[in-house]
Amino acid sequence: MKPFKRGLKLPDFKYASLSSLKIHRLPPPRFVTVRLDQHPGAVLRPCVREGELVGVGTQIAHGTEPISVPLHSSASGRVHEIGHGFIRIESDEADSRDSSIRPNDVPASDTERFVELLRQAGIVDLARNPSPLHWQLLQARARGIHTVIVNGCESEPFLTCDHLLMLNHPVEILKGTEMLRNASGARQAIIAVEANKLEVVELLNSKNYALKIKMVKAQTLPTRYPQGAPRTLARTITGLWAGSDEDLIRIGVLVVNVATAFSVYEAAALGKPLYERVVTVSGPCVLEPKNLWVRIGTPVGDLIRAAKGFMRPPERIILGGPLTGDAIESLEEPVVKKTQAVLALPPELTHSGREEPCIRCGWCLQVCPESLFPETIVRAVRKENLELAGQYEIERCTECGCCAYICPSKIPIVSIIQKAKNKPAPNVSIPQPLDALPV
Amino acid sequence: MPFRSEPKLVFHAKPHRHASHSASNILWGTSAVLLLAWLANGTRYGWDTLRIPLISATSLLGFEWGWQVCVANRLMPFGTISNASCFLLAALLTFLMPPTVPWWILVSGALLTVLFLELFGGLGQNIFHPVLASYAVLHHFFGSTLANGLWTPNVIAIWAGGIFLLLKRWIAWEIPVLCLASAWIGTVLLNASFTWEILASGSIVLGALFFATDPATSPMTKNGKVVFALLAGFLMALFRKWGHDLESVVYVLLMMNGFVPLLERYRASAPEGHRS
Repeated sequence: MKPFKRGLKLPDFKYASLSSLKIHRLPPPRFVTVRLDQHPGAVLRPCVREGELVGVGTQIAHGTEPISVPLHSSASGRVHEIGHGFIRIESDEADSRDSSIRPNDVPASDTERFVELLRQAGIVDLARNPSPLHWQLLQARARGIHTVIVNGCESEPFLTCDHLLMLNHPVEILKGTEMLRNASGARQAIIAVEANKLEVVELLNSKNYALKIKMVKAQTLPTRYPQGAPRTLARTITGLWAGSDEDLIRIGVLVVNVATAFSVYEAAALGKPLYERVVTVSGPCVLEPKNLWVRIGTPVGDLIRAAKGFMRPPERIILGGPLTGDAIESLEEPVVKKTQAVLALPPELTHSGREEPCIRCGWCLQVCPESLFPETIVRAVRKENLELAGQYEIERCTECGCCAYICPSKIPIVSIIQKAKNKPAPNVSIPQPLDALPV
Repeated sequence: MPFRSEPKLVFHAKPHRHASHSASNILWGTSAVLLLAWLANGTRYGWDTLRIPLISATSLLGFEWGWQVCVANRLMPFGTISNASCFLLAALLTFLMPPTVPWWILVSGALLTVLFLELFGGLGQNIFHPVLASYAVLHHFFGSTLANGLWTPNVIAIWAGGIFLLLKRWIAWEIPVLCLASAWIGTVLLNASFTWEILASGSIVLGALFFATDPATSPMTKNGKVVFALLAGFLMALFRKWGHDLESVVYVLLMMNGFVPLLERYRASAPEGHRS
């Protein structure tokens, strides 16, 4: 294994949310708002009516496309509102489970039934790109893969949700990984962990010593951002380059998050659908950073309250890691399946500033893990020359944010590339240089 | 007591963490280092130490302001001027001037610098280093006036300033290190005698540490930087053997500036196995 070149060494700030190694549980919130667009390509139709009684884990929406996965209620109570793109449930705080949730005994080797079980449990990859797991497994089965990589790198600053999940549930993760390996038909499975979590590797290996799962092993990788990006991870472990996330199957690799492996175990062994996940609440503006089991659809404000509120006003609140997450505009925003963290950041940490002219220092080239030319791509996109941007392989960008982090001129490289990749309609305005200058 | 009121949240583009450096900090810092290195000439140059940078900085600022107002139609161009690029260019221009230089040469040098910067599209867009280009023009017209004064800046101060920039990582280490190494090897080979004197030559050291490392006019890729530096160093040694010290550095660097787009065509590291 060769450590990947470039990337960044970032101060990780993980200690803040590691003061307690327990994953705390929230009481059920008064309202949960489950959004229907939990994964790309989801076309969902509600299958409950307003006023209907639901339990925890009741299916409330199902997909019409083969790629979409159904949604489940994360609280018991009454369906309060079925809105445009969301279902709001008023909790009765009884937390009674749906009667259909019971352990089942589908072996992972029975691929078709197992994959259908995962689909019915609503499992998507619990990472930045939440693609439906059953779809990935079917493709992996069809194309044939050799390695399942379970991604426990968590290379972004502040995030500790996967770390604590591995510390608290190593056996479940090992078993879930073995199930994934069986279902995908891969020869081996590797749980990749960064070197700042060596105790996790030790724990997984010692548990595996008792479990005797032969083809699953934990592997230590150097601590470097973005080690946890799927393509970078696959390249470090197998030495093969993938052109896009879909291309990973072609090189024979399936990359899923550890949280996904855990929920696969829960779905297969306990029949529990995916209605909650671990979320890190952290950042210098939060009084008591911690990790929480959060029901999908809980408003962000509840999480902040569980962390004892704000110590001081944050400049921005982010769902996800600081380099790839999205800033939210309201504390009512619900947690979705891909939300790994809620971070409240002060201005002295974000170091955002007014954009200045590019001085062509070339630092963006030196940190790009995909060896792209961010400077040239940005210039091409701003001149609306998408053909040239395509020649410089804009499609290979993983949007890890290294270039925009290092840029001394604070050029919003990632948003520019994102907008260009999403095939902009003519009216989408790409931020031009010196827009914000006082003229 | 926790903070209770609702925070004001607005949309922000990602990422939400940035490095703490900024382009204007780097430009201000480099200008300050250059100014300090220049002030080390005080014992030899006397009052000219203050006269030259003052005239070049004020005239450069004035011309830049005039360009922004009259040509670029910005009424109050504080934004473009506050990033110290004018001061950096003025400091670089100062370093190339002999102590007895008349004021009108400084003013016309400043005008040419602004033209060579702005006609190509402003900071970061210029192909040729504006100060070197304006020196080349000045040297063509007023060569005899420039040659009258004895040009001897303090080499130790230049070295100190350059090493400070290297330690701060404001300049890429490949360019000065490889440029000086190849210039030294070139001198040793061309003269067939072992000598360190090139590392004490003010013009070569100044060119390698402050002019060749200008980010806008040097390649962005690592391989490009290596080729750029090696070629520039060797050509400096070659030109210097049959020409004047300072002029050879100026013309070699201008020539190499022209090669930058060519050098950037070669990728730093093409992803192995992935060429679709």
